[in-house]
Parts: sequence; structure tokens; C-alpha cells
Amino acid sequence: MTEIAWLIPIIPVIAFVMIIAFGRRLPGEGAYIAIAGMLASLGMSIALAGQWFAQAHTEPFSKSANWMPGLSVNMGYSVDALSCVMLLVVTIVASMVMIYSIGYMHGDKRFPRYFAYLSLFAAAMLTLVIANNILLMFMAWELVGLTSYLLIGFWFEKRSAMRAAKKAFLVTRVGDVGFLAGLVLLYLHTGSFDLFGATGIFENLSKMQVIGPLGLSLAGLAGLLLFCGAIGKSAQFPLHIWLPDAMEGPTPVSALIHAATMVAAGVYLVARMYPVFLADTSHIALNVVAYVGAFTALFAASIGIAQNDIKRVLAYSTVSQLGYMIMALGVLGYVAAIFHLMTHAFFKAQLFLGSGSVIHGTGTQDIRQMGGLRKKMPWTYWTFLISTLSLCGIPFTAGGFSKEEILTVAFANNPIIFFAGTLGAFMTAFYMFRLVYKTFHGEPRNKDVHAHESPKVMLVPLGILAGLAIVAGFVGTPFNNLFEHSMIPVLGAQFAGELERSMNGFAPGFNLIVFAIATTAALGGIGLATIIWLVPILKIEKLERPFGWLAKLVENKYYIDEFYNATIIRALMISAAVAYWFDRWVIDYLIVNGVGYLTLVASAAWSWFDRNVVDGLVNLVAWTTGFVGRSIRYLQTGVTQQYMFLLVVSVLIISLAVLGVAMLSGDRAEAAWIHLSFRF
Amino acid sequence: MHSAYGIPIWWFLTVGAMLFCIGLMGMMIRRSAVGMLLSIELMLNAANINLVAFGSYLKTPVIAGQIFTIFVITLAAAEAAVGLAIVINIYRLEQHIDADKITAMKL
Amino acid sequence: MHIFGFEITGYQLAFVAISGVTVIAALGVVLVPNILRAALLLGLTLIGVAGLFVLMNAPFLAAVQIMIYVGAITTMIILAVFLSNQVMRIGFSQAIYNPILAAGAAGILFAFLFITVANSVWINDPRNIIAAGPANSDVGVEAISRALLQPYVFPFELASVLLLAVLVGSVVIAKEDKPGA
Repeated sequence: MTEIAWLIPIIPVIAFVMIIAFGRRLPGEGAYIAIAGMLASLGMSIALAGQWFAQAHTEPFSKSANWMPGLSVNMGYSVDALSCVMLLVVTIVASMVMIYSIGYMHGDKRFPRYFAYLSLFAAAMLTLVIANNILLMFMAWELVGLTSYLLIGFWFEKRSAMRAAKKAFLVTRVGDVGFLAGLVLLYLHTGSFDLFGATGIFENLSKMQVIGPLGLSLAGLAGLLLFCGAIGKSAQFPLHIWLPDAMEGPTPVSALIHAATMVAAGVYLVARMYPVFLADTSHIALNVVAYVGAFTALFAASIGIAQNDIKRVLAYSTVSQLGYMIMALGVLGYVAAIFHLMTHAFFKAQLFLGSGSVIHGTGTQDIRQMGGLRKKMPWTYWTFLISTLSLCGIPFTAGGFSKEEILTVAFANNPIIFFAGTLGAFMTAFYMFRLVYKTFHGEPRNKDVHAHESPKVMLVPLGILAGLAIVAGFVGTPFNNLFEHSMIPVLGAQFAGELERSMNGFAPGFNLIVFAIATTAALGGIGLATIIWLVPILKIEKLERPFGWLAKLVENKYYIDEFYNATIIRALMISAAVAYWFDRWVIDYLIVNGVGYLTLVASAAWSWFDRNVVDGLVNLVAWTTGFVGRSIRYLQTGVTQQYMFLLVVSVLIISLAVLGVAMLSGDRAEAAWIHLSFRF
Repeated sequence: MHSAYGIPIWWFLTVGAMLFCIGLMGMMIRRSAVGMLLSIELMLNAANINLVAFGSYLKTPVIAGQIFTIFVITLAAAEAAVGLAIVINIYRLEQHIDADKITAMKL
Repeated sequence: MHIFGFEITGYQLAFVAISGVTVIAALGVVLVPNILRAALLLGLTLIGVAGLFVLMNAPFLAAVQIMIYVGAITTMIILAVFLSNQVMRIGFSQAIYNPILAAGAAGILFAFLFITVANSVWINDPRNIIAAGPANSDVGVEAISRALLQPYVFPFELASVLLLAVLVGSVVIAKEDKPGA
């Protein structure tokens, strides 16, 4: 199987070419071709992973073909535990999303093109995870960015979708510059683009131990530059702004690209290049990674609390969870991060597909218009609930195991990060259950929304992914961590030892304190959400009830005549308004719901900061470009003769400048092209 | 025997430079698209003269000078064909071929 | 032959004559208002360049120049002039676009090029360049055809593909779009 593993990314490419070439003439307008290709890749990935994990490998299997012989640039693939896991994640989620899309995209006028793009994306993503060469990784990385752009802007008639696509493409590109710089730095100092082998990057990292300013070694610098790429792709602060906007794309696309796979590519990149980070013995780069991740996790979670668009809540949740993974990588939780990447891919893809089902059923994305969907969409509700529990980190779900492993590692290595992680878990549980309660519980808020359950072709993927959101965790329970055993050798003997030394003898396993704290945080978040939105103990609207009778009086006009209407009622209404205001803002928000209010304020502040400062900087760059363009436009008269004239004048100026410099310097050898002593 | 010719290379290069500058001037002063095409042909010929001159005057003979000239002539034929097709098309659309008035693509 | 005390060879005389005709004709191409005459003068210029090729020991190129340039391209241009100007109804007048600036710029550029050419160290070094009169008379048709079919066969084929594409492309561009077709 390992010998033909390179076929896995090739199959979707073939599907892509077929769909682009033949389009609607194919069975299922191309959808069946895309799904068949994806299932073939899935089957091969399962077979490959089965074969790989059945044997005890120490070295990654790596195979290269010479691509540019003069530059010693190779092109190849490698198989190890990390790439096996990533292949499985990508192929499973992609297959589910494609099957689901048959129902979701039914009747779209660009249906075949949609599946072509999905296939191309899958191919690029699979190439990214299987590449054994950082240059090939970079190419695949850019290609997933391109397909992400195409898919976000899939409904490009919508101006917002077009803008979101451009924003995503440009913002991630900022991070990619860092990736490219890191790649070049690695090549300059190790002399290779290959990752493995005696001449590869990982074996030659000792050449990059030179310590620079601030105690940062060259390896650490390279790591930080690569991390810039991860910041862009994985939507970490401050480049996270594109991900919530990316929700303009079709919902299955959000599930595949902006929840499960592409945004996890940044995490994968850091994990794949982990030896570079470990080679930086001061761990400065890793600390940066940890704090950026932790900050993003908290920051995005707080914004998620105040959102009313179902997909935006999930988007901020994704940013937050990616921050979690990045944070785990920063505190040496290499295995924990990949584990969480895997479980998160399943349950977050499920959540997005579930929200797609809700949107499909109700025709709106606003959770204020929803409510009571539990009865009308039971399948969607139950599968959504299972994934939510998994995301919240309830014990014995996949998310529970992975989140606990992250917290265990953080607990051992960095108490600040541990605290941030716990707080993040609490907030995650809080906003997710707010979402569940407002969407599925209570009574329908908008009578015009006639919800209906989605077709089976959409429900089956929901069920499968919800199942995975539970069982996928059992490969890495803290009692018998199979995941840990197979993932650590990926680093190679040298860096596995380095990782072990850095952990100071700490061995991940079951830790009762962490378990108790993590569970309490998750349940606490759920509980707080419950008493606010499900059981009306802290319900804001509850306090309006004492004045309900007053409204009834006014409405009936039974007790009050015109005169009262004009005087007393008005006074009553004003006092009622004052009392209501006092009640609502002083009693409710300040005293009873103070915690929630502060959280809301904080998240609003973050949101403002996000929109005005971070986005503002981005807009400033765009505006400057536009301004320069507008100014220079007047030179573009469209008159060719004028262009020619300007061209000649420019040539003259440049030539005279060169001549002048040569004359002034008096260096005849430098200006050998002209001899200034006239011969005639 | 060669000295009997008595023509130094810079004579040819000067003629080439003259043709080039005349062509350039034509590009700037000709209003019609056909006139500009004529000027382009002049400039290409100037380049050809240079290529052939260096090809023949180098101490070690270089065939590339003449080969390149053949390619330049080929490309010139291609360019003239496409250019004139465009000119005819524009004339059909706008009833004139003044390059400075063709501004449909201007912002 | 001696003229005004200078020794002048027949080749030099021929050069002066041919290049004089060429340059004057080229000036005509640019300055003559009548576009048809300009096209005809272009033919004369091209013939002059062919003559210069002969003086540089490149007779094959001179033949190619006359066949393709004078025979094909000039004819095509004249045809296009006829097609686009409707000889009978519209005059051939050519408006001139800021001529003084253009002539000035081109003149300065020529002065610059001339100084460079005439004074370049490399060009006037007899180790690099034959001092007077073209050499390398062995560059004949056979050598050219060998070169075209051996080291330059790829660009040669590429040029043929390009010509095919141009043929199709110009037909498509110039074809009249018939409504409903």
C-alpha cells in the first residue's frame, strides 16, 4: 500500500479534470464522480493506515522523484503516523461533505463546478499532508488557499461573498509570506527542501543552532516564520478576521475547509515541522506559539458568545478551538494537538453540516428567528447535540479525551496556559449551549419560519460524523494512549528524545485534578447557559412580566378612558420604563447577571477592536493601494503615442543617469561600454 | 582580401540606430494604427541589421545572428497579420483607425 | 578610388548609396502623410535593408527579406490600407501627433546610441570584431539550414505552430460577425 500511496491525492485530481471537462454530462452532474473518487481515496487511506499501524515502524516511509535536478529539488511523498491520521481525517470529512452536498446544493446552477472545486481542494489538501518536501507542501498550501477562495466566492453574484473570498485570500497571503521566508531560511541553512533522510531538513537542524538577538536561534526564527503561515491559515490572532467572513460560502464548504481541514493545515504545518521548533532549545518559538494560541482561544470564544448568526458562532468556535490546538503545540502537547485536530475535525464538521441542515430547513441563519426546532428536526437536533457535547469536552466523548489531554500537558508545563485552557473550555460550553438552546429549544420565535427535516442524503453524513465525534476519542484515552505510542516516533529518535527531555520526565496519562477541573468547567458553562436560556432562572425577559398586566390594561382600554390615556398612563408608562430600565440594566445586568454582562461587554470590546483596529489596518493597506491607483490612473491616457514618448524619455533618463554616474566616478572599467575619448 | 571591403562594423550599427530612431519617431507621431505598424516594421529591421552585423563581424563566426533574423522575420509576419486583422476589425466597428481615439478599454 | 584625398573602396560607395536610400525612404515612411505612399516607401526601405544584408555577406537573408518582407508583408499592409481607408471616398491624410517633441526625443536617443556605438571599447577592439569589411563568408545556405534543423529545431517548430495559430487567429478576428450566425 505504501508504494502506491501517491495515488491518494491523484484520484481527486482525475475527478476534477473529468468534471471540469464534461460537467453536466456525467452521472449525477459530476457529483457521483467526485464522491466515487473521494471514496476511493478514503478506501486507500484506510488500507494504508491499517497497514501502517499494524506494523511497528520507526522511520517514516519516504520516496522522492527528482524534479529539478540542477537545484536538487525533489518531489515526493512520505507515509508516517501523522500523514496517515491526516489522510483519514481529510478523506472521511471530504466524503461526508460531498455526500451531504448532493442534498444541500441540489438545484444550484453551478452544481458540477462546485464538485470540481471540492475535488481539487481535496487533492491539494491530500498533497499537503502526504508531501515529504517543504516546497511541495508550500505549493499544496497555496493551492488549498486558491480553492478556498473559489469556494468562499462560489456564489459570487453576492457582493458580500465576493468580498469575503478576496479578504480570505489576501489575509492568508500575509501569513504565507512568512511561510515562504521560513522555507527559504531552512533551505539556505540545511541545503535541502526534503524533510526526511540523511540530507533532509530534520537531520541537519544542528546547523541552525546559531543564537541571534533576544536569544532566538536560527531554528527558532525559522519556526516562527513558518508559524506565520500557520497564523494565516489557521486564523489565529491577528489574522483570524477572514474566517468569520468566509462563512459566506456554501455551508458544506465551511464544514470541509473552514472547520475540519484547511484551517487545521496550520496546526498540521507546525506539527510536521515540530523538530524545527524543538531544535530551538530555548523554546522561545514554542512559547510564542503557546501564547498566541491561548490568547486566540479565549478571545474568539468571548466573541462567540455575542453572535446571533449560527454559522458565525461556529466560526468563532473554530478559531477558538484552533487556538487550543496551537496552544497545545506550544506547551509540548504534540500528540494532544494532533489528537484534538482529529476529533475537532469530526465534531466541528458535523456541527457545520448540522447548521447547514438547520439553514436548509428554516431558510435563515439568525438564531433569533429559530427556536423549537428540536421537534421538527429531531435527527439534526440529536446529532448536533452529540457533537456539541463532544466540543464542550464532556468526559468519554472524543472531544473530552482530546481536550483533557491538552489540559493535562498544559497543567504539567505551564500553569498560565492551563488556566487559559480551562477558562476557554468553560466559555466554549457556555456559548455552544446558548446556541443549542436558542436554536432547538423553547418555542419557535418566528411563525413565518416553517422548518422541515432535511433529506436522508444529508442526515446520513450527520449521523456518521456524530458517531465519530464519540468513538474517535477511544484511540487516545488517557488510560491506554495508542495515539501517543504511534505518534511520538514520527518525530524521529533524536527529537522524540528532545521532547521527552523538555517534558522533565512528565508522562501524559490520567490526572484526577485535571479531569475534575476540566469537567467542572465544561459542566459549569453548560449550567450557566441552562439557567439563562433554558430554565428561566436568570431569564432577562422574565422581569418584564410584572408589567404585562399594564400593557393588557392599555390594550383593552377597559379600565381607562381617554383622559387617563393622556396623563396617568403616560406617567405610568414613563415610570414603568424607568423601572424597567432600572430592572433590566441595574438589577438584572449589574447584580444578577453581572458575570454574563461583563463577558458581553468584553466580547463587544474585542469585537470592536477586531473590526476597527485589526480590520482597519487591513483596510488602510487596501485604501493606500487604491489611492495610489487612482492617482496614477491619469497617466493611463490610452494614447499609445504618448506611452511611446514617455518610454523613450524614460530610456533617455536612465541612460544619462548611468552615463553620469560613470563619468562622476571616473571609473572607466566600470563604464567599459562607453569610451569617453572621442575617436573622430 | 577582407580589408578590401573597408566597411567597419559601426557603419552598419549606425544605420541600424538611425532606422530604429526613425521607427520610434514614427510610433510617436503616426496617428493611424497602420502607420504605427509600419514604424514597428522599421524598428524590427533595425534590430535585424544589428543581429546580422554582429553575426558576420565577430572573430569567431556566429550563425545565431542570421538564424535569429529569420525568426524575427517570421514573427514580424505573424505580428503584421494579427495587427492588420485587428485594424480591419476596428475599422469595421468605428469607421476609423486612429489609435489615439480607440479608448474603449480606458477606465 | 580616391575622392577628396580619401581612399574609397567600391564597397564603401555601395554602402553609402544603399544606406542613404534606406534611411531617406525610412524617413518617408514616417513623415509622408499619404499612408499608401508610406507603405510603398516601406517596401523601398526593406529592399535597402536587403542590400545591406548582401554587403554583410548574408545573401540568403537578403533573399528571405525580399520574399517575405517586400513580397508578403508590404503587400499585406497595402491591402489593409485599401480595405480600411476606402480609397475613393476618404483621403489618405495622416494627422501628425506632436512631431517636434517626438523628433527631439528620437534625435537625442540616436545621438546617444551613435556615441555609444562609435566609442565603445568592446566593439572597436580588433580582438573581438573584424576591423573592416565583413568576414565569415562561409556562412552560407547550407550552414543556415543545418543550424535550423539541428540546434534550433525546437524554436523552428515553435515558429511554425505560432504561424498556424496566427493564421487561424487573424481569420477569426477579421471575420465579419454576421448576426444570427
